[in-house]
Amino acid sequence: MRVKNGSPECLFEKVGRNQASTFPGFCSRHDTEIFKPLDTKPLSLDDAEQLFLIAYRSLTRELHTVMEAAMRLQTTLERQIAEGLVPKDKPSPAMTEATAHMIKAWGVWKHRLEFYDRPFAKSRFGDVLHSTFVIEGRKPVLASSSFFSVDDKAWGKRFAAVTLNVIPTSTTEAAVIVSYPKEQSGKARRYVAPIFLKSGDARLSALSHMLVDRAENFFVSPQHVEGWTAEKRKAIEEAFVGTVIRGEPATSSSDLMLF
Amino acid sequence: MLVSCKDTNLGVNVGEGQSNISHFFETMKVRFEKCLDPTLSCTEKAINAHSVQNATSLGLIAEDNHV
Repeated sequence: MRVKNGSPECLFEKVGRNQASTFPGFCSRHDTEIFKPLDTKPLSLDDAEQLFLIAYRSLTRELHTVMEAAMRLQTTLERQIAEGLVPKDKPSPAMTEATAHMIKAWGVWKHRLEFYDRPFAKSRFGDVLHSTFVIEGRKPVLASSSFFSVDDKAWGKRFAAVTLNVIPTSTTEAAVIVSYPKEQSGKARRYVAPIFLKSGDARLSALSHMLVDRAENFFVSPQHVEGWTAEKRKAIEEAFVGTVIRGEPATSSSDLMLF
Repeated sequence: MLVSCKDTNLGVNVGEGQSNISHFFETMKVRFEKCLDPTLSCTEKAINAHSVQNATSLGLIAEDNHV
């Protein structure tokens, strides 16, 4: 995502592997200690601790994103106050926006605290459940780590949410993992049912639609993108920017197939 | 309102016109680098870590070390 002529624009572009998907969310010690079970063993979809940590990392990335956004808006507000553009002690659009994003960040942190931090402290990894499947017999072309709500609560309110991870595990397989707090399993499973009730290409198409519609942290093999027609590429980019900027849900289309 | 990263990445009003564009880019340089450990009490600076499960998995889709 970048800004061109004053307007946001979304394009597929190559990113260095070591820059892709990184976020400054943990110090070196915590990153090593917390994720040791993930980083020192092969991934197993039967390992509750590993699956919990995968979800924890996705959620923390979102927490980092919303906290950074809140901080940037607060910085903007403070600059506008310093320049005399908005009053310090009266409501203004800039103040409303900054406060709203602070409340959103608070809501995401509360979600992590209640459903992930507290269970983590007691090693209750089973408090988070997972729906999984493996994409087999084809070269992995996509990786993703994302977190999104599955209901429509106002920012700052208690909400139900899932993490969605697509993890290439070998030259012919990728694991798809949807994780959610046990008490929110009903809402979560209903939300991802379009994926899990299908099979084959229909399932991958539903997964693609959800990634374009709700995720923003996914990476596609350059070779795979180069094989797409210009129309397909544009359709994905436009659908993506539509969800980001205009809040329009992506319309179901074969052009949105990412696999 | 749905909660998603997508709601916040452009939280700054990027569409207000060219006059604000320098402020926009200046603001986008602001980084949040606190360690978000489970207790939020760590005072160490955060490092860049992969959000997608380990660098090996990205290597499986990378081409010339790019994705």
